[in-house]
Amino acid sequence: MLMSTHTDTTDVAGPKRRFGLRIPTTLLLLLPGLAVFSLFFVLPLAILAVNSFHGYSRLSGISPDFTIENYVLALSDRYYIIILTKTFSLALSSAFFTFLVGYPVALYFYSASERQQGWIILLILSPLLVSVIVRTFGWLVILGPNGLVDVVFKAFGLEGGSILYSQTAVVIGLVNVFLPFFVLSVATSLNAIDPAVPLAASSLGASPLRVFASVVFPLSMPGIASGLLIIFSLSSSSFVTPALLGGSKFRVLSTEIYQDALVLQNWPFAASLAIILIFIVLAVLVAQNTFVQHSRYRVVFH
Amino acid sequence: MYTFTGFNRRRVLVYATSLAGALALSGACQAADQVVLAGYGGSIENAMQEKVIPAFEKKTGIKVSYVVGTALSNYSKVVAARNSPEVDVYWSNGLTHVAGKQQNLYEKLDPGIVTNLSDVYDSAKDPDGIGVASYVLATGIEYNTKAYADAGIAAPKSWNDLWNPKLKGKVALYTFNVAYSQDLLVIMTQLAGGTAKDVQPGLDKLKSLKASGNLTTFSSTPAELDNIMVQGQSWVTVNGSARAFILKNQGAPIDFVFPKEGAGFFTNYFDVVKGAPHPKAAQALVDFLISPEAQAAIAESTVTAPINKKTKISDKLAAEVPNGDEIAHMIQIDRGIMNANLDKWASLWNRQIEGN
Amino acid sequence: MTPRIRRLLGLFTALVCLFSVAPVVVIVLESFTATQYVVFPPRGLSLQWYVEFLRRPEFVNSAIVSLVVALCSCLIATTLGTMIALALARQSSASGRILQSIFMAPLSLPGIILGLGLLQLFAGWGIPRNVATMIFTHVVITLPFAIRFVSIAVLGIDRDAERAAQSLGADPWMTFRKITVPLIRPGIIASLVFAFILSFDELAASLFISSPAATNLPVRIFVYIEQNYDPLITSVSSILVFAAIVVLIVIERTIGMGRLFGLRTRSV
Repeated sequence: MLMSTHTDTTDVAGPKRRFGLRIPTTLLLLLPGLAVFSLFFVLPLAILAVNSFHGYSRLSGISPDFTIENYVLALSDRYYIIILTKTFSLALSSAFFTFLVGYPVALYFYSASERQQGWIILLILSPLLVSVIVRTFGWLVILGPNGLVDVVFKAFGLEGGSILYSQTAVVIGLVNVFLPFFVLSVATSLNAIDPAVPLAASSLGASPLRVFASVVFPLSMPGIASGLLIIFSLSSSSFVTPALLGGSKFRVLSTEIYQDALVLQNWPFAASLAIILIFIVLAVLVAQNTFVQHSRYRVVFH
Repeated sequence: MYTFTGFNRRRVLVYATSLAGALALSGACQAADQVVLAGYGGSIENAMQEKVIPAFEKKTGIKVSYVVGTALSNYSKVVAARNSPEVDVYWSNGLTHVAGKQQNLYEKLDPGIVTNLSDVYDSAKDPDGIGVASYVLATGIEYNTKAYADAGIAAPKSWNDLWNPKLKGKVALYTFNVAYSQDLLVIMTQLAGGTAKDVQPGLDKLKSLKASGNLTTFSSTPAELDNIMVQGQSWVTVNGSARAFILKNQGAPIDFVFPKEGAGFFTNYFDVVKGAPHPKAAQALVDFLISPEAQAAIAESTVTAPINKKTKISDKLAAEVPNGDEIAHMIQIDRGIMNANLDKWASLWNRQIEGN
Repeated sequence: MTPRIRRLLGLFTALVCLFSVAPVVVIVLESFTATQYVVFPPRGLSLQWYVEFLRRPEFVNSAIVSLVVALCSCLIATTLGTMIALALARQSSASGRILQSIFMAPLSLPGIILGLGLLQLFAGWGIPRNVATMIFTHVVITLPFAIRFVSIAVLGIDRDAERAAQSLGADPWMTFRKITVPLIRPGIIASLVFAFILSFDELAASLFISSPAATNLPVRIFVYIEQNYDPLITSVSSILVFAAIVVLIVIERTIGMGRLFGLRTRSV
């Protein structure tokens, strides 16, 4: 069984035939998705890309001349560089903490009874069922001054106070929403593990920790990677949670984009910020995808 | 103004029609006797849908299609569709009224159709005859009465009461994204003896409010501010009178004061969009919206002062909205200067007040 | 998994669930308040704000729009996402990997910007803003999730089964239907669930493409609280939570939760 997992994974890397399908089938499968994607994502993005190379004046609107000054400003002004750094530190830390909180839950979920699984899904999904702004108001009540956290801390004689308007508050809010993505992502990949694999390993005398470290964890890697990827991307563009829980002290790129796009109606500059954001995230995704691909080889051949 | 025209529109339209199928057709066959109004949600929409619009439809036979949004999201729609407008009447705020005027987005009102204009207070008219104010409210001080009473602090009277040392960590303001904070910057500048041309004195004043330790909270949305004010997480803030009085009337421990130095003058506007698909109906709708009948319904639902002199309002409302004397005493904000400089001010505010 | 580790994991999971529902519980409790304004802890006990919801045609209409949009977009996104995942999940070529990453891009594009782009596109080309355009916008937003969730499942397929079926003479379509689909079902279900919920909660892009014919619930809530903040919003938000609990109980009583997600129960 272990052997077959190996050959299986090597085959994944095999370039020629996958899935018994030939190239035209691959294209056919991609076509409808690509059509919708191009029309409703690539095209509007292209319009914004065109926007972003124009100037803007509050008195005359978008100017017809071609300019790269939006990008120069966004990438040279210390103010925006700091915001960019904060945005990515937020995306990284929320991905990291979701992993810490979510992975054990996914492990338990995988071994729980069907009934328990249902309730766990409902409970961790429930924040997503409440409109994002309203949910954040819930956090304001919990985390704010005289909030639940404050009261509980004081009851234990600890230093209370509000943790609102800090990176901690934003990460708490984001982990809360992103948790289900991660848990289900990992659970789906754990589910694909043949139960015989860990059993075989333990019957060969491997300790539970060893079984986990050398069998379960590596096999759940695709789920972990996908989950982290989703969370990293979503955090980098999240707006309401940073705006409400981070307050003014924690401005991220999407806060700036909101201000420029909607309040100042400076679409060109907002577009340039968004395009910078999307390119950086895309670079991270491509790099990560490559890394995962390589690490899979490592798992196979070590 | 540059707009995105890099495509062969006709060919694309054919393509889009075939893609969206019958749905595109439904957009093409529009009734002649209709008018599109882009306005606000909440209690305003309620009053519009239940009272104002049915009355207008009954009177004129013109059907009203109500696009619900915020001043800013609707403004984006007007700007994006400037070459083929979809909206006839846009309910702007003070700033998007001026910004749109500047960018030539609105039509002049036709005094031949908008006859109610003659009964409108001068302060609610536009100097160029483009659009007309929809109501008037004040930017002033909102405070939590219970928190003030518990802490033994007298009710605020002046803008300077925000600096009261007993209010450490208890003052909240909107972020610069909300109009009341944009106005506050001008108000503070004028109180510090400056003019809107250079807002640095106002920024310095607000910086000192932050340095005093009083100002610690910035709210990004009105609802968030309502939340923290009602919960008593902040005790005092600068807000529009309408919002504060709505909370007060719901029974929340909230009250509003017109500061003695003068509250800010705040209006929203009805603007007829240039090139509107139904220009005549649009003018007729604006005329109806500023009639005493519609004004009473709008004012009561928004807790604002009507702009038509002949409007009859309840005594309760009269006590809560700025009256003639108070309006005369209000701080006028030069929205032309504000509009021209808003990006600069936002950048200064972001870096000096909210940031760090 | 030893029983002790399992108990520890169970305790941890319980705590995490508590953390997850914390803000939801606050909102649900607030919705039962007898006051006219939102306050926590709520004062009194009343269902008035649920009655109020039913009395507001615009909220009920928006709830229906949201439901229709969410249902259609989760079905379309999951179908397209499954096709893309089948085509790309096992691709190791550079172009396949880059394509996979590009399909993830909508996740990192702030919704406001996507909305602005679509607004200009629709306005410039005369495309009406209606339920159909909102559905496709939501498809693009939820497609990345569909692709990811199904991809994970595809990566986990034991291909011996497929090969065995084919060597026994099954054609590709039959192999796909009888072997592949059941194996990737957990990914498909997860994709449907997430796409539905995300579409139901989509605000930023919808704000720009909404129209009198298509104003979904998040936009309705947003423009409402821009003017008034009262407990109506908390009751509207709680309704979906109750609906989900009901759906869950029904599924449990009828087809069983584990059957739905296709997750086999066993211990590691």
